[in-house]
Amino acid sequence: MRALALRGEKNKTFVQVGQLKLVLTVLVPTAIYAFLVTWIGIYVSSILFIGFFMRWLGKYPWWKVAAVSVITVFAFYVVFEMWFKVPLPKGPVEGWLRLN
Amino acid sequence: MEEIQALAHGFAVALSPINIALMFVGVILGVLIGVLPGLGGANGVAILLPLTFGMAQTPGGATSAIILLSCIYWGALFGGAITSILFNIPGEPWSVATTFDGYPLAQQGRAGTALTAAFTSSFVGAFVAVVVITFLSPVVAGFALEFGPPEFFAVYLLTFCAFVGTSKEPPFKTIAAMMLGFALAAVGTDTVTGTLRLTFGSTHLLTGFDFLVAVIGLFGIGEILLTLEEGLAFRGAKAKINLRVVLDTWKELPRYWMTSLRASAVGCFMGIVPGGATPASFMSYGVARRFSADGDRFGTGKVEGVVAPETAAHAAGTSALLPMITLGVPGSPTAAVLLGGLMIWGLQPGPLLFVEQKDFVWGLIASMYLGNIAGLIVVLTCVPLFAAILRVPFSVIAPIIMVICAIGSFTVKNAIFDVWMMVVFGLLGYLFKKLQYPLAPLVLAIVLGDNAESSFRQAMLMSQGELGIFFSKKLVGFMTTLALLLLFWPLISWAIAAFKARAAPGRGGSA
Repeated sequence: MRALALRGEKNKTFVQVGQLKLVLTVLVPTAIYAFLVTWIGIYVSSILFIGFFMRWLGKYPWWKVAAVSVITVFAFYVVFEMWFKVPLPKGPVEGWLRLN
Repeated sequence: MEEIQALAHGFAVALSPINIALMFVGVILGVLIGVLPGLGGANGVAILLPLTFGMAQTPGGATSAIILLSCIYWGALFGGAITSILFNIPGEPWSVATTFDGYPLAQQGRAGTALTAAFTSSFVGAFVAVVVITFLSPVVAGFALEFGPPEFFAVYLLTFCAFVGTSKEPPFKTIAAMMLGFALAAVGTDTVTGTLRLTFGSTHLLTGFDFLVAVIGLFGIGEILLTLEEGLAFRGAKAKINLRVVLDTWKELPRYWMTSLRASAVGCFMGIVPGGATPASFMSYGVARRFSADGDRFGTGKVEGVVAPETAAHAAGTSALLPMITLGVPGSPTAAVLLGGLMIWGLQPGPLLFVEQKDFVWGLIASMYLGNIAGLIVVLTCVPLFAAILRVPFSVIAPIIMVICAIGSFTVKNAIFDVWMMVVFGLLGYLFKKLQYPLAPLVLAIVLGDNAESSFRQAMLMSQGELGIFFSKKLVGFMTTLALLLLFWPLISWAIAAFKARAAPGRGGSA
């Protein structure tokens, strides 16, 4: 039966506190992001999500944060809605901009 | 020589300008996906799959779509090596073994040599596998035309048991992962009677869990969470490839022909029997070290140590498509995603493809030859560009990848619920990786669970509940026996080892 027994696993720490913190810093915003997509659509929440990461973890200046997140999301809009005609979930903001 | 003729026709299909353009687009996207953490062959193809829905509806479009997606796969196979060698981070699980000798080579300033060796041997491995596919798949498909439900179930059984027998994880972990996959596959409408199972009254679960979402979450989000533990920055060696380095390396490579031959054989075998590219690369590395003249120096930066795993990984990754197109049984998670694509485009994967969709099948096979050539050209010329992408700070690239994953899961069924599921699967994938449970059996079980179940139940209806039907004919009996052998292989190999140990030193000692 020894062949079937799980091979001697080193009794190591499953996750270190520092690592867990890092993982949670991504996991929690991602969960919130999934929530937001439901309410305000994927575009606005993506801008917020990318912006949050850059500002909070990357400590970039605001103008860079704004530029990168808006340009990226605009690129997604062009690729998905215009090229491939795949509609993505939208919220009230797109409604004001008359994009849907 | 019927195959040659069919292949020539396939080349005619694949060589149209649009298809060649798609090949290069696919390969470039694929390398990009292979290089980026959190995006890999399986989830990259899964994310892009919904984009081909429109493309596949035009005449000949399904062929273009599969060319695009399979080239993404080749590109991802190539791309994994770049990060392994330059950054000591395997971009893909199958390139873990490449880091053993690839990274030391890069540290010695021979990154160019290592990269050229990796790409060239990838190409060789893939080429051998495509040749195998060209000549073996019509034969297998011919056999499979006469398959009934018992035979198909035996093939599925073989697939699942092969995972247990060949996986490098402990067999119980593989079985546990697989059983979880079956449980997830069972959710939704019963394929035979049409009753609802395990939906708990939720309308979201009526159609069951979509495995594409599972793939995106498990491999994508899970991978990012894991990468995060390592910290937020990548540090890597400089990549420089010029023609001189390439030619010098090519002069050196023929010396290792025996290694590549062995690696290709290991790879093709592991790809067809669904062991997958990852165990193939490890196995091939081990075999090469054992057989090599200076095996002791493996791990210190031997070119041979790059050739062996890369050849095997590509051979396995490519030949994993053989059971997919001939039997409808994928040999790897990425092949499973491609299979899902076929079904969405309205093609029934399996032996009939060779009869009814000649253009499609042979176009795909021809594109494998061409796609790998395109891949070799792209990676040899663009390495510095791809390496530069990894220097983009993680705090920028990670959220963008997450957004791409979210969009990918949404577009599968246009359901926001799937974005939720992606996050859940991501957490699951992270835990699986932390606890060293294999993900591939889980994914394959989700994909094949329903089909395996319905062919089992049809077989049971045929035989009125007699399990003997799986041994009733030569072919089905052989496959079932082979499957059971593979399932109990960990026990058998242990027994053999114990027996040997007793026979050899035990001669003078205890009885």
